[in-house]
Amino acid sequence: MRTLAVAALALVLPSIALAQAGGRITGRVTDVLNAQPVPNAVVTVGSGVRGSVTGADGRYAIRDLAPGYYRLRVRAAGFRVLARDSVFVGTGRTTIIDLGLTSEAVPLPPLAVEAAPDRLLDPREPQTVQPIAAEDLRVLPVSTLDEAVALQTGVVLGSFRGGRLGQDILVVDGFGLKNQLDASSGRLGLRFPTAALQEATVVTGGFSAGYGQALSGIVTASTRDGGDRLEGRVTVETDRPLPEGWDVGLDRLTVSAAGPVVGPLRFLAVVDAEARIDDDPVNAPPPSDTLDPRSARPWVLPRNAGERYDVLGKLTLPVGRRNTVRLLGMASESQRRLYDPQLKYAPGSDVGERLHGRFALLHLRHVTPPTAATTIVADVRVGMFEKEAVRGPVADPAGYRLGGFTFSRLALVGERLASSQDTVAARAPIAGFERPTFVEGSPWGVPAFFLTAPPRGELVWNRFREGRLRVDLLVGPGQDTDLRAGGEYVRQRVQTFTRLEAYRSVADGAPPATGSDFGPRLGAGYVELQQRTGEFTLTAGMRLDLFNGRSATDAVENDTKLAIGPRLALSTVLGPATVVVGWGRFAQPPDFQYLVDAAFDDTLRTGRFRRGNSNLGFETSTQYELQVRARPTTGVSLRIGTFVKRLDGLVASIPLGLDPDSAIFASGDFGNVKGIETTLEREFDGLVGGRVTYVLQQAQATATDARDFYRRLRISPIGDTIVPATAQFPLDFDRRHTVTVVGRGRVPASAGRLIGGTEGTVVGRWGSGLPFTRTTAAGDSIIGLPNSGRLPLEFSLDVLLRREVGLGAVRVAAFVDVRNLTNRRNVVAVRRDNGLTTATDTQIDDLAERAYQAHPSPIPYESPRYRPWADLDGDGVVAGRDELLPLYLRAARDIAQPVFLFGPPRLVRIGVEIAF
Amino acid sequence: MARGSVSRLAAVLLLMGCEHTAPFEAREPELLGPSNGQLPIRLTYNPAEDRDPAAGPDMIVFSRLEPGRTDLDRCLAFLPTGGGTLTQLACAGGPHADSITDGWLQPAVSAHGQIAYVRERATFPAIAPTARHLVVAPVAAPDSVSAEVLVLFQAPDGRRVTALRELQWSGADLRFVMGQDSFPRVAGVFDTLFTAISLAELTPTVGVPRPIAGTEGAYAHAPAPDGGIWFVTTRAPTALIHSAADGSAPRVFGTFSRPVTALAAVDGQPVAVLGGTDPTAVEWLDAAEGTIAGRLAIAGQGGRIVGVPGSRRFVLELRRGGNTDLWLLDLP
Repeated sequence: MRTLAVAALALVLPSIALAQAGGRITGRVTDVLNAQPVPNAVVTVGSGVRGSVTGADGRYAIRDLAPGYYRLRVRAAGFRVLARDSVFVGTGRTTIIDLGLTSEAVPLPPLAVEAAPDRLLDPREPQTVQPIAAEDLRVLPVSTLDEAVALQTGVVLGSFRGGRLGQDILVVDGFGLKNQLDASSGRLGLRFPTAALQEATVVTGGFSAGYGQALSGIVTASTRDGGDRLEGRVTVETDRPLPEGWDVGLDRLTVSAAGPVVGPLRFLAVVDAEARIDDDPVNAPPPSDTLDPRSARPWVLPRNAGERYDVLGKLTLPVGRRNTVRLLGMASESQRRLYDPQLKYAPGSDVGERLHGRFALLHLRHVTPPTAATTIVADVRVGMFEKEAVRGPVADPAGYRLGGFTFSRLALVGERLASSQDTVAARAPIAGFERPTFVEGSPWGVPAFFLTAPPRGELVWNRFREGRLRVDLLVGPGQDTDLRAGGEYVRQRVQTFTRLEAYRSVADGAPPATGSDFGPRLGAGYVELQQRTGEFTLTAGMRLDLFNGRSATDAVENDTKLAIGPRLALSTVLGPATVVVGWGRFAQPPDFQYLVDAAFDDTLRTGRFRRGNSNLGFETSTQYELQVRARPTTGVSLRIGTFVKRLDGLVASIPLGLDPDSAIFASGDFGNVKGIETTLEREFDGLVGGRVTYVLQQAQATATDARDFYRRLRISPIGDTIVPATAQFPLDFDRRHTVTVVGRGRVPASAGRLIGGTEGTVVGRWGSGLPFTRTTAAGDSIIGLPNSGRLPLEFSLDVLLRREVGLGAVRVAAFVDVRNLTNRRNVVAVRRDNGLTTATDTQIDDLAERAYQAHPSPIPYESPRYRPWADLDGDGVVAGRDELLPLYLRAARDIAQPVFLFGPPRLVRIGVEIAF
Repeated sequence: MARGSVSRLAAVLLLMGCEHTAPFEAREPELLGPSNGQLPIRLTYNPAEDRDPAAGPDMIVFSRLEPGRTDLDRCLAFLPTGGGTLTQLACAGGPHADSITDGWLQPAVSAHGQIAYVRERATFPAIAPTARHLVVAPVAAPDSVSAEVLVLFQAPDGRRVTALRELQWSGADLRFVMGQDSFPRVAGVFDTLFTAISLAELTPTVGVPRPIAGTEGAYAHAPAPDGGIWFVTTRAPTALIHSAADGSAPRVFGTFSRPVTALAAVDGQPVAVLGGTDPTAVEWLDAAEGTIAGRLAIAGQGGRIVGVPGSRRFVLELRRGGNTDLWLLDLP
């Protein structure tokens, strides 16, 4: 009957895994003599502020605990006090600890008998969250939270389960952070310092009704609190000692400290600074022409440096025994130059970008005492988030002081005008912008391809700010019921400015500057119930989301949009396995960049200008999931999950009339993602552990307005004019097969002083090719449907070796981190005009011929373009096809080099970590 | 911690102090010297047009039509005195293929780092300029105008001055031939005909020309070593007239063998390009006696001539086979 019920539910209900902000400890307290439950036992954690009282069945539940290690203590009348140390609680996870108490009247040894059920199989843990502990970041070959997230099942290059970029949200200490302006094409602006991390989780399926603004995934990050004693950690990483070709100019310093301040006040402070001389290293093949300056050292690109500074500070103050105040502040500053092959021979004409993010959070928590019959946890969070980005020509090429560090702000041309959003003043040429012309100083001399200044003359600035108030309430009547409710209100402000071809005036034909300034509002409320009954655990939730773009760019009064998101999950035991089924509907407001008129590149369609639409609605997804967990042998676990996700109301650009350069954004397109995820894991036993994950997935988009595609495509050789209503094609992150292998080992101390205690982790990733879109040679029309081509498969092997030694209270560790150990040349993109990484000889000939035809003028001796070796007849003039065309050919080969079509090369960093 | 661990840690820290690999650099190709080291040196091989040479102590400046420049803009080009690769090319802004012809013509370089030139603008393909200015700017940035004078004056005889030729610095002042341009149609093609009125001087900051008395009809001139002026007039195109700095009446200093088309002072000697000859005849007079001191011939049709200060070298504008280029020669 139970099987039938679950099967029926699996058909009706989509599957979802629910992640919660805090973890819980639950279990049963029994008498070891007779295994009878012990009622009214008080189970507490830490200093005794949080806890629970067992019910008649001996069960207890301590809810909403911040991730970390706890000391669990249980006392009951007539029994000896029992304590257990180092109980780990992860974000959104249930840690099950069953405890056996010894009667004080019976002279048995005080050692308690624990009956800890298998967490993998226990139906009381319905979550499928993938945890990332702080320790993982030290033993895995990763250096940022993003890199650790990328190792998780279902995550591909920032896409979660096949969705587009920006369908996820970062939740820091229970507070959502999202770049609502341009998450699909921009960055958050904040980088979470890994040294502050207590634990992170990745939820690719569904998530708690408590969180919105996401369709495909949630990444939670919990900061640790300062402890009772001062502790700190300093880490230095670099690739300086490595030989040429292995060194991309990396330097990184991380300093963290935590501990008491005054009385119960605790602090945490982290500074993370990183710079690279080549911030986007590529494994591109060297050029064939020896006159090409890159032929000497093809591995490190010049004028491609970047540096980042991340700072985090946190204060924790317990107020009485029931309340806690936390104050968290984060700031990130990053800046980098963007190497442009067209500007290869124009030193001093760099394009740069700066990004900063700031986040402040005040968190008040109230909890009931452990002896309360009903647990109540109330949280109030007030936060502010700001992200500002600017891109333009570099005004003052600051010198490097230490590796890629300049320790100064990268000044960009026109940034003051941009941030003032003065679109009237911006009609004139913007001071500091240079009109691009062909350089004279290339080895080839000819006026072609290589420019003196950025050709787009682009000045882009935007700022996104929001203030958010969030209230959460957890009520736990008894041990088996959790009721959560809450809501949030968000006030945002969006400011943008874009000017293209800023080296010339609008009167001279440049597109006018665009700017916007408006204040969207978001609101949400939710309620969620989790009920555990026997071997069933049911989670049901409902979320209501509201948003109003309040865009000032549209005269039409903006409507408030509404989305209702029900969620449901059920888990139980079926034979040797545990089964979890779930369903949920999720919604997120569109990127607000789509609300404003904008000039930008679109990867799928042609055109630079789009008309904003303040009436865009919610993007939504409906997800179904079924997961089976089993344990084939001791220490080995198997998880098999399958999911279907339907994406609705995706923002698409709809052409206006027949002008392909003009379009309006609309809600309409949809997509489908379905997949199977399999994970086989051998738990790390102190010597060996490992995990193999295989994901089979299909992610397809459906364009409901297919006119635009088919107008450009000949759908029939005989000129059939029937245009289908829809067109289906792969989504951008449709990776069909992904295999991830993580192996971890530790050399036993008995192996000797030299290698004993050395830890090693190997990560191998294999992924089938991502799709790409073919275009015509001119690049203005697509060939076939979007994403109808496939890149080659990708493979990388990363290794980290770490050796730690103790020196009194100080621990010193040295590590070597190697990414892409085999130095495989992964293809991450191809030329859209031929589907290859290189231009064909015919294309290069054509490129050279067209350039020659555009500038067939002779080059006289006195010209800086004159190259004596090209003057075959020595008459003082490089003239005619015989002398000029070879120069154009070599220049064409130079500009056609595939640089950014390849992934990173083998990257090695050496680090030393000192902890006290 | 064991001693071995300490030494290994020290070794790691020592290695971390190394320098990073430097990225590749794109270096500018080195500038070329003259194509051959022996005079005469062909300074320019431009298949288009190089004209109006002027010489400073360390540079040669001229007006250049870049090959392939469809809007026919004339730019100011700078060469090292001995020839080689252009060190600077200053042009009017705007695209290369617009419908405006911007001409930066007749440059003159001062000893104090200033350049003066005539800037004119015409709507392509019209030949008559719609605007013409005398412009003064720093040599390093010819487009950073420090003084600008509209070329539209009243000559003493009442004629309107619409054109300037033979621009030269005389201390802080500019000296030039003022005249009129007309655009007669000859054989169906419009031509530019310059009619000289007289020499004049102008202080750029003042902007009002001062005609030089006694120079009526002068169409070529050069500085005399005594501070005066040598010039040739349309009335007697073979006669070199000297006007002393003290303001005394001009007198004939010497006579060239044929009519003069261009005049320069080279190492203190008057040197003239004679008209109507091919090969071009360059003739110079004795600076003391005014007698013909020498003559050389060079294939092609000669145009403007200018002496290189502090040497016996001179730059000659020479038209050969449809191209107008600059040559560097010296007096024997």
